[in-house]
Amino acid sequence: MQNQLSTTRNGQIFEEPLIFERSRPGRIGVSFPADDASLPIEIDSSLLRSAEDIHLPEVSEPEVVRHFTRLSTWNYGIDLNLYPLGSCTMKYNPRINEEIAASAQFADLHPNTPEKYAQAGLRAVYELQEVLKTVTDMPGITLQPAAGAHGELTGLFLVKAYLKKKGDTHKTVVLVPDSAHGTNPASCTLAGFTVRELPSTAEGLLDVEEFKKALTPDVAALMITNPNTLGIFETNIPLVADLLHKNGSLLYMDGANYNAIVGKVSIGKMGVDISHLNLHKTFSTPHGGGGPGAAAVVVSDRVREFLPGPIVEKKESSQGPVYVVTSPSASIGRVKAGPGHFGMIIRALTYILSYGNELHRVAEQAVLNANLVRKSLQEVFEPASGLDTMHEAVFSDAKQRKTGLETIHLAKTLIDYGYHPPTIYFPLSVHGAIMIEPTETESPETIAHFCAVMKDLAARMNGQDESMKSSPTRSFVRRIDEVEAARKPVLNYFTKKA
Amino acid sequence: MNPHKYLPVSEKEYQEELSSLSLKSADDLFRCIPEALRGNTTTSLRSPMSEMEIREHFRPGVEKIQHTFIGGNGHTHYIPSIIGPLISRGEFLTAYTPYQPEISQGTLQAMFEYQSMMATLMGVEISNASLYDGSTAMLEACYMAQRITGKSSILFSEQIHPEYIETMRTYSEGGIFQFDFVSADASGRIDVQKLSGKISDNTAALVVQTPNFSGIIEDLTALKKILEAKGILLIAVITEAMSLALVKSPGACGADIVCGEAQSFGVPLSYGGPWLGFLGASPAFMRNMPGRLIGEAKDANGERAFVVTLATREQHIRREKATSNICTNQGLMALRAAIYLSVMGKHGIRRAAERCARFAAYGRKKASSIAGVQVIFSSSPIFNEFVIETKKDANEVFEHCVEKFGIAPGSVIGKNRLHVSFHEMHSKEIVDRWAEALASA
Amino acid sequence: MDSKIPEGYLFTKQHEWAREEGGFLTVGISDYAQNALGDIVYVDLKAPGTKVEAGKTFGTIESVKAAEDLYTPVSGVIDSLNPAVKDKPEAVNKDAYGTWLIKLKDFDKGALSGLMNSADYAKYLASLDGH
Repeated sequence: MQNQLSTTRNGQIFEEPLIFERSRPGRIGVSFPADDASLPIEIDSSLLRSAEDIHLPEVSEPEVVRHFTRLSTWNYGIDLNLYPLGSCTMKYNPRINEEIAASAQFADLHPNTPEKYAQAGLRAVYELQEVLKTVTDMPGITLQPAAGAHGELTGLFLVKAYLKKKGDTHKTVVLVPDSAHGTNPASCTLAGFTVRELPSTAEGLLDVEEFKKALTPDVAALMITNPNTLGIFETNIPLVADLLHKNGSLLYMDGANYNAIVGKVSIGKMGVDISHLNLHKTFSTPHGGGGPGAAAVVVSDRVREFLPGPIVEKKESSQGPVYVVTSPSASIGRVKAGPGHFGMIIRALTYILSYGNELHRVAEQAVLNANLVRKSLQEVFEPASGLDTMHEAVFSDAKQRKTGLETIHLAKTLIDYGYHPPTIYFPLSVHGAIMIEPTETESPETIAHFCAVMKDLAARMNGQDESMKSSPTRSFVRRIDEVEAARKPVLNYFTKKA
Repeated sequence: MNPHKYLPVSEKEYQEELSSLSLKSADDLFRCIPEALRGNTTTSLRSPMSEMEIREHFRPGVEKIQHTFIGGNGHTHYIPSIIGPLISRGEFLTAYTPYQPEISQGTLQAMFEYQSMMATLMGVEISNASLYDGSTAMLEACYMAQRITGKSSILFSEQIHPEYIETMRTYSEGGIFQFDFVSADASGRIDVQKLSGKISDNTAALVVQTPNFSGIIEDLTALKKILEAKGILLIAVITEAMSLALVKSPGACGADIVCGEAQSFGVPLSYGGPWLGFLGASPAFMRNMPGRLIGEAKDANGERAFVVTLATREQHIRREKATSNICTNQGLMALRAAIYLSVMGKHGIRRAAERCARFAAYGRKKASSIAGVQVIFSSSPIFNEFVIETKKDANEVFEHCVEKFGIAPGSVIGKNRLHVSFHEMHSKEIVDRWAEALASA
Repeated sequence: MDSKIPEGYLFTKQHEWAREEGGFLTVGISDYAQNALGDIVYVDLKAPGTKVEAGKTFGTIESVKAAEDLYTPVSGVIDSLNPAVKDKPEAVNKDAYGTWLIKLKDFDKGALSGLMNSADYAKYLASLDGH
């Protein structure tokens, strides 16, 4: 700090201690009426917690507001600038979504409310079910899963149920490309499958010959991301689907990159049996610093009967449409308590209503923007593939290897220009990978500026600018000693050793 | 092409972008997709709606329910007014997962504060930075127990919320654990004799909900004594986190893993989600925990900073050997809870919990004297919930109370059973009216 | 590249080293391995008395960005663990060949001939780096 008395670290960015360090005995942040004073608490004292054993802070309301407001100013967000994060689809989070989700009729609705009194909520779930089936061109759907990984696990349970019914319980292997997101193999383990990794082609696509070799009788399914994690469409997917089905196996499509094809392509015609869509990616629900998300899982007729309940159906009555909760005949059961992340469902529905029959323009602009980035940057960065780019442009560090500087240095220095780094070192199959997904909600000038910055960084790397190794230098904190944090973890303020 | 308000290009700019790539139309960008798969799937949707039309589309009907006693999983509690505006700040709402710590200190410090407060409420040393919800948190605790003990049989109290048990049955298909149940005794608590009979050499843990689905506070200390001798872990599941402010903490009673649902801490009901799963344990189990962990650290200038740590447990590094497949968590809900616990503070949360308990005790007394209503386990200790049996069909009772009194009297959990829940926004008068509604049904 | 492959050590393809010492088989990881991992933050070893079969793991070793399984060079029974490694995992980074992780007893002496000697390991490493 420049001056010992300054409350700001830099300009208008304030210092702020932990809330526990703000706490002063006797301060309060809320008030309650006293009308319960005459009523006894009838719990035996042996079961009670002492009031002193509650180590929450004592802070006034304005101090709490100031505390968290200051904290917020240390964060980057979509509302500030572009996130070029490949596979995360960091698009604008519309505020009408927030407004509708926060309206009392939805925010205060308890999931145990009998159907008769929950029609508004049920109607919203039904509408999203229907519109997502239409847009993906798939006959079945569940909106229960709480996140993409949860959707993957749900899908794998569906695979298990399908195989069990057919008596194919020897099919215990799931094929997963080496370019897959880590949640894919992790979900396989939880569902009781073993993972068999498939190598990709030099172009980052599924190697069909390797796939055929690996497609033995014990294969339950193939999990494939499409477009894949290099932003390239897997053109062989109908062929692969056909081979799988002939083998009695199923095709799972990880829909994390669905923003590239939303409304433009039929998932049904690909031959996909199960696909999850991330509502917090393609459908604009906010990331909130790590969550919550939600997933829709769309399915083919092969596995519809196994879907988790509750599913909402519409029935006609003399008073008009009535929405009821059902569970399919051979349902695997619920995958969590409650109907699902309704708050994200209503946001996604509101978003889709804002586009209506123009929803495909999301994909068009997203792919267009990624291609503008690729065209600009392929002068200075090596594209990971020669094939058509969809919604994300992936580069390797091939052109930078001789500089002695690496992708990590580029990423951390980008912060000093006011940008969040792109996805780096993923997929594992691309050396020093840089994955850039601008999304459709970025203007031409933002894209041009970002590319200009990336070119400046490439030039600095060519000039072997060693200062890039100590970036970032303009952020609220500098590089963090993650080694010490992992060796001696301090995870709780109250139990720290001095 | 008409501009769309979420797409920052004019028609002219759009055409210029296409020309710069020598494209005639956007369809050219999709030439890499086989023709058979191509085609706009949006033609049957309605045209785009303006915000005004959207608001009209979602206009609510008349509010029938004025006061609610529905609980079980998901509770009505006072939500301080500052939470909405604070979490709506774009820097919190639209922030990504804090993998770049230098530009995520706001989220990271808030999560460290959340972890610290949740850990102390649970009575354990370490809390993670959230899981999806209480039901999946319970499953994650079971996986932990299996990893820690190397044993695969898990005993579940029958008095766990039915939806949690249904979820468990679905997950058990993964083959990582086998399950069995222990029923309740005449007091509504887990039957200790039956428990001893169910324990085997392969038992990894006992999972107990407290307060349980009948609202009864379980005796965790006594259970711990039985399990400790056999090296079996005690997993406590909390569906009503508010109970942690008044009832002796599960950690203090000896629970090895504490988990559950923290929706009561400033998270709206929102028809079932997104809510807030939590999980905590001792440092001995730290490397076996699922979910993100935020740790305190120093930066290159020696300033205190916070960072995602021990990430080698997680899916993006450990893949099929990860402690869980979780990636996206409930970050924004954990932030709500952090703000809630900060502004409610030591005294506020105690006051709220006391009100819940007082109204429930009063309500139980009133219910005991209603003809046609019987309180189940009426002399066992409760926090803020209990179960009543109704002479009439429970659905009919529910409708009568709503239509005639504007009161949702509880959750219908059986043909003649209502699960009732009391919260700090009730009052003696509202409880009187609830009793009146039930009596007249 | 592993800058300092010493003589008298045997190696696995997963970069563990082994040495016969006083009737036990001492096991650690090579300099190449510690360099690839980066700063080591934690070593998790199975308990003494555990039987480990060839091809199976005796623990995991973690850095900030990776967690790798430790594979036993030959079958045997874990006799002891190096206590220094628990408190100061960085010792493995500083001196990979001087910091043992476990000692095996009742180990399969015959299988030792299937491991690489220092010269073979050096050739193996050269084939991995590949540019």
